[in-house]
Amino acid sequence: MQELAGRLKALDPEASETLRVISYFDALSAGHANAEVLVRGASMLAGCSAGVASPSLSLRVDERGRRSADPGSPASWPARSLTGGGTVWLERDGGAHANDDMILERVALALSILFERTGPAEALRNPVETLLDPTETVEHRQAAAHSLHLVSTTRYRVITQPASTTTAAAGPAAVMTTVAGAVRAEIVLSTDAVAAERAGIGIAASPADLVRSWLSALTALRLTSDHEPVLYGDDLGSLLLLAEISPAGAPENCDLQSLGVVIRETPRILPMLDTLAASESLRAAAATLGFHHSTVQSRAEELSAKLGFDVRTSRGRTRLSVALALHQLETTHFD
Amino acid sequence: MSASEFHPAPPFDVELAAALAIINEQEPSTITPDMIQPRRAAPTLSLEEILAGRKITHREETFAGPGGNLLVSLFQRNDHSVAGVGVVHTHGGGMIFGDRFSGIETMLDWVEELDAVVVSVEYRLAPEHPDPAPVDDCYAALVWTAENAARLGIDAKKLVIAGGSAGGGLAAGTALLARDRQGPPLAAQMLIYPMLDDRNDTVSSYQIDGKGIWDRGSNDTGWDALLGDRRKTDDVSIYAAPSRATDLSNLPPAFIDVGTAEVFRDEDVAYASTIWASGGDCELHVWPGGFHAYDVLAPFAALSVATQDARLSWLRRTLGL
Repeated sequence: MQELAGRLKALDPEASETLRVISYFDALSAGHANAEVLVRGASMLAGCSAGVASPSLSLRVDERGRRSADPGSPASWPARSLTGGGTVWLERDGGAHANDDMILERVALALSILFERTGPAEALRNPVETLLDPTETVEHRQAAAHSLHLVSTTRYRVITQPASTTTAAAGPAAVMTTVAGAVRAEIVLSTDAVAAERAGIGIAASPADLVRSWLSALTALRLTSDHEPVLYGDDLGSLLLLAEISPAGAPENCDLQSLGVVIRETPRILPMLDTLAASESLRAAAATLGFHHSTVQSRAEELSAKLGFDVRTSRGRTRLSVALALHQLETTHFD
Repeated sequence: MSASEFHPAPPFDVELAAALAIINEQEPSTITPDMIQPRRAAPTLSLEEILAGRKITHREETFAGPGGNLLVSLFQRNDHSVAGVGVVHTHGGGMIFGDRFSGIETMLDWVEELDAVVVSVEYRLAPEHPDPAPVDDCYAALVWTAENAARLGIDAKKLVIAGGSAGGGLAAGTALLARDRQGPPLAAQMLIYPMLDDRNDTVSSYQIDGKGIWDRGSNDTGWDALLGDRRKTDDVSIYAAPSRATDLSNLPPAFIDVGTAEVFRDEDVAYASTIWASGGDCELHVWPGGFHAYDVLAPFAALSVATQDARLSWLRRTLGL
């Protein structure tokens, strides 16, 4: 079997392939890939040489995927800095390709996490990562809880925020690589007040059960929006189950597809869709949006035709709410 | 044997695992018989794309083969002048897919690095043309190449048969035919993760099921297409399924490579062992965490680069280049 169809090669210079870039580097990070493999991933996806220069290590990979001694000069190439110090760059001649920014962002994040994990000060894995890793053994998670001085009979919550948050962590915290990008997880007492600009607040749980709190907090964070910037896992109920659905496995005729088309056509329609889903009647929606009732009436008719179900009915609003939540889970991404 | 009796397969190499997740979007792990026709229609790289950036000339020739005219593609360096290494290439594709350009990049590297002339055979595919059509065509191409060596810029003393996957099985079968029919002498046989055993009953054949590339089910599809009702019976020749051979003496030096996380691992290791037991010469490389055809599907990966380097190194040592 040496067919050519599935070959992995440089991405299309014109078309954005964000998901492919993210999933590739997430898989490498999950496998604890070393710096050369990460830089080679950037080089391979971009189709040009790439390099990293940092206090702990410098290397360059040529466009054929081979280590090259030839030192690049980072100053003249598109580059990103690493959180622990240092730079990663792509040796792109001519105009930038569609995925260059995303490749640099993801490789910089993966290298930052790697250097943090393997740096002298952080020789051991952050125990928060171990404690919240569902694939870890019970024994390892217990040891991690112990090293964090968590009390087995006390209840805690995991608070999730975008990794870019500038709020200082009050409790033990770690930046986690997730399906939704880089997310900071912080462990606080279940009774602590939470002040954050955008956050998911996990269900209360004992240290042994904090994985569940973490997963609910992550889902909550992914469902936050500008008008609901802080969400509690406790308030989501069965909506938490939606995060376990893979959009790739959804049937082709499900509402997610038609909703995706509507949003692609008119990205600014989202607030109206949110309001329609949340309102008891078109009149209430019109009042919230500050539009005339007849305007909302005709938009609702139009949208119903495009979506393939009537958003003016109770069932239609439910379908819209669920589809919006799925859409948000699919598209929300934190840098 | 059944799957429950075995440990899971060795893990994929980290870099290859990340690549595989993307590759599997287009290349399913399992190929079933109903997928043969649709997948044949899928677009492949054009000759222009294959040759882009390489200083290589391509031309085609045809000659009378056992089942009508046989087409071969010839590749040589633009500046090729001295008769040297000649490689008869039998492409991969599970006996059911592919054409003479499948997996050709490895051959083109040899053209550039070794100044080799490559003769790639458009052999007939199963199930339309079951055994022995494919291996007969490959042997006919070897005979034709040997007879025309001087005209093709090939030193007949440096003739190599090479192929990957099904092409590796066909290369091994062709070498056995050349031995038993007193055909053209071969200087080397390069068996790249070869498909050798129709019985599909090794531990690795059970470990790789529904994962990776060309899994247990795909292997059933390929062998069923080639052998039909004769499969797994005593009516299968050593030229169709070289693993059936018990005497592998008097063969040219062999190179075999294979990944640990693929169906062909155990039959390929066993083939090397049988060559050694027969007093033969074989270099075996078993690459940790490699899935089937990783070198072609993820050519940038460290394991792929090391794999290609090992092949070139062996060719240079074996052919005295």
